[in-house]
Amino acid sequence: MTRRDALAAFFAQGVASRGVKPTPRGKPSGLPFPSRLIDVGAQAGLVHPTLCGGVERKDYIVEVLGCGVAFLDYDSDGWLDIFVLSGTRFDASAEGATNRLYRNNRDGTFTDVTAKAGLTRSGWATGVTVGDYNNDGHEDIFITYWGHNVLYRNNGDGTFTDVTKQAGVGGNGKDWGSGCTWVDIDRDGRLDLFVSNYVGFDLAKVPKAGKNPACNWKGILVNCGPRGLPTTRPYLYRNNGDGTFTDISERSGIAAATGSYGLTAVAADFDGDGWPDIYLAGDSTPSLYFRNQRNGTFREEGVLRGLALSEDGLEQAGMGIALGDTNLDGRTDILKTHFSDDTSALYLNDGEGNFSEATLRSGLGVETRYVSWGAGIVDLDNNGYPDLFVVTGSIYPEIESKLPQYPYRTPRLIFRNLGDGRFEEIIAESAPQSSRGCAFGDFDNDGDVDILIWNMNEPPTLLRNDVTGGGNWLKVRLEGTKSNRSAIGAQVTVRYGGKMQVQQRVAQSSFLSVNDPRLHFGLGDAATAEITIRWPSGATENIRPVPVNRLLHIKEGKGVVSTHS
Amino acid sequence: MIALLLLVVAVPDRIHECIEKQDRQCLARELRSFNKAGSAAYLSAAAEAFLLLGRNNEAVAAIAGAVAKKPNDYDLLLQQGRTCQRTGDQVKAIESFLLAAKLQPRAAEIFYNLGLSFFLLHEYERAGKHFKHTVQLDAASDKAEFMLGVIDIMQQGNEASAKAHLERALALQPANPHYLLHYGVLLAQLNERDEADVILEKAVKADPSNPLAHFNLGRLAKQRNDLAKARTELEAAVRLRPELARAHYQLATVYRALKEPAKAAESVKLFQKYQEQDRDDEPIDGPPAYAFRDKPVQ
Repeated sequence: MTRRDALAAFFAQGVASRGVKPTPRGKPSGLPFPSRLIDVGAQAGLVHPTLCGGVERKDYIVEVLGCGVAFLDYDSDGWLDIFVLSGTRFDASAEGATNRLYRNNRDGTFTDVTAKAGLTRSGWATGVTVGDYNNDGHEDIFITYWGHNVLYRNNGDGTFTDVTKQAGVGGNGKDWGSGCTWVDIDRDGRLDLFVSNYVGFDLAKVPKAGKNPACNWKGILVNCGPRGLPTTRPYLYRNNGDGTFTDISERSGIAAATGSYGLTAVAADFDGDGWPDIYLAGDSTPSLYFRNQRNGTFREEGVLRGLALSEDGLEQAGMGIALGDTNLDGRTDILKTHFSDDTSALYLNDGEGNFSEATLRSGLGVETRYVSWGAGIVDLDNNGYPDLFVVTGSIYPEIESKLPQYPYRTPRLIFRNLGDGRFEEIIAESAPQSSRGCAFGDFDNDGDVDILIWNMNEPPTLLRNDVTGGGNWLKVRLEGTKSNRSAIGAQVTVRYGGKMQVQQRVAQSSFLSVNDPRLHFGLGDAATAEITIRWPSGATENIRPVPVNRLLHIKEGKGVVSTHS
Repeated sequence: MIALLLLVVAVPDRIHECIEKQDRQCLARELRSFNKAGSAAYLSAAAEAFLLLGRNNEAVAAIAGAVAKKPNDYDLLLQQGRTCQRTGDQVKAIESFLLAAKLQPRAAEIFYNLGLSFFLLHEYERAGKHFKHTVQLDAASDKAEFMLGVIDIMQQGNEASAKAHLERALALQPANPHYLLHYGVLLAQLNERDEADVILEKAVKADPSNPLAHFNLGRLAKQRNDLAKARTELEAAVRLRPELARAHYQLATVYRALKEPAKAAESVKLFQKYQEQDRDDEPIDGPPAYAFRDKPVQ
């Protein structure tokens, strides 16, 4: 018996992160939810399974974690393309496993252009971040691996070049790279790179599932980790502006943050000072919040800011992170997903980077059944109130046959925003999967948010959102001039129909994934909207009221340069 | 001869007097001339005294001597079992309890103690069987009902059963602060927060010196955004137990919400200072002392 068991049984301090019981479901609101999510992945051409370890059992944790996905516009044609990471296997059945790039054919279908783009690569890919690090107008791709990480420079002609070595961002090849995000830490207009690591994983030293009795879940022997495996530390690379990067992990203070199993990393300005901070989900360890000190250094303030632990001060299994303005107060809130027997956590921002947990009072406590991964704060029905979307999936395929109450494939969850600080859970209609990463974006340019989902050893899911009778919308594409060209780190505030909503342009969120670079605002029945942009450079720009239901291309210092409706 | 007999009879009585007074000096004085060849009654009293003084090996030896003189004495076997139980030798304790059970197969006390020893060996299924048998023999055994509730709490998913057991324990001992605390926390875990609040208020009233009752009451208050009450209760919790890390963490969030950043920062520091004492993998010695009490704490 451990101390915590004893505390739970005898001292009863409250077990917040394990054994959390769901709160009662209230009376259904009865309100219509005019968003229908239809899986069109197969008909769209997303037919290749994304491999990651064994199907029936997982011998090592590296087979369990899965990968991220990305919506990006790699050919700058205004239509979202799809990038899907892949793991591999320890046996020969992994033949053909590779990350895949799918070009949008602009008719609801995609073409696999992986080989043509020069992106064929096998290995244990984990996380992805997309951004124009060399400001040439083309989105580049960085991928973390168990092994060396990889940076692909977009050549602007539909192909990519592996520039990892010359850029100096490949890591030591021993760490297991996980969360990664482009972030302009010093506001010099060049994207720097933050990379976290999950665990120190040495195949020769970690016992196979079944070999160590201590590695069990609900009494059944499973793969070992993350607890018991060594922690590593995150890295920060400064962009030198000449295609190379300098490792500034030590001098920035980032390297001091040891002791966390880092997963998804999100860079955004949480405290409203105009400088990007970094929030890193920690699996079974405290989540870390690196506050930008505006001098090239960061200070870890997770506990101080209320973002590190559960409300009882307990470690949680932090997986994915979503950002958004859930209560329309103009501040960036955080949704963090966790393991089963726990809730996802909603943290409300006071505007100065102090967070209070609103999980129970917002209604999220009703759901504790599933291991939750990728997530988004997105207005699915365009009614002007951002909803929550979460993908789920067990990590132990071998459990289901012995404990049927713990299925491997589990549903997607929607928490629709009721507009009064509360959310109501709706189970999405699509088939259950063991999912991990997911990305949000409007792949068919019809004015609503669609969803791309990574599934374990299955083809990806592409949920096309068909909103019927929903509200108006506005989409904003930003282009930095003084700021980094991708405008990563920009904050956009939209005022509509007496409401205000803020969003930030980030380069990784959900679970190790990348969303549509264009920010989408549902507007309800508002006919016009006002926009304020705070660029990563610090400049602020106000856009006069604009008509709705269109995409605005806004260039830093030049206002709206084009619109598409 | 008569005088000698009186002396022999009087020594255990004097030891009992010292025990009654909880007078350690008195006990030490009486045991200075400990006679391991004394009578069974004397050795029994001495064993109890050694145990109170924390001289566990001598306690075990003394009660073993007593049992050797009267191997079929139910009370001595029970005492031997409990001495071994308290000093950590659960296997020997179980042996003694089983011998006692042969002498008095319908003595609920024996089966409660058998359950407790199996519980301490982490054999919860067998422990549960003995606690259930205890309740069959003595429907008024609040201790057995309580322990059945504790076992159910440990086996996540058995909350409904745990609740029923704790309710029966409380029906028998309505003011027991431990029962109230466990029941209140269980209700909170089951999200029956209004009821939990009422029960935890009772737990605090029954034992205002219990930091965990204040902590859990404060936690509930914070969940419903009653920051003033949360602050009062959590401050009481850390006053009573400064190393209660999680209460400091909760206090930090309360201070932050109350816009008292300096106090929040101080609470964070205290949380970090004490957090290491509450690690997941830190083993414990055993359950708290109240699990051994013959009678619930009033």
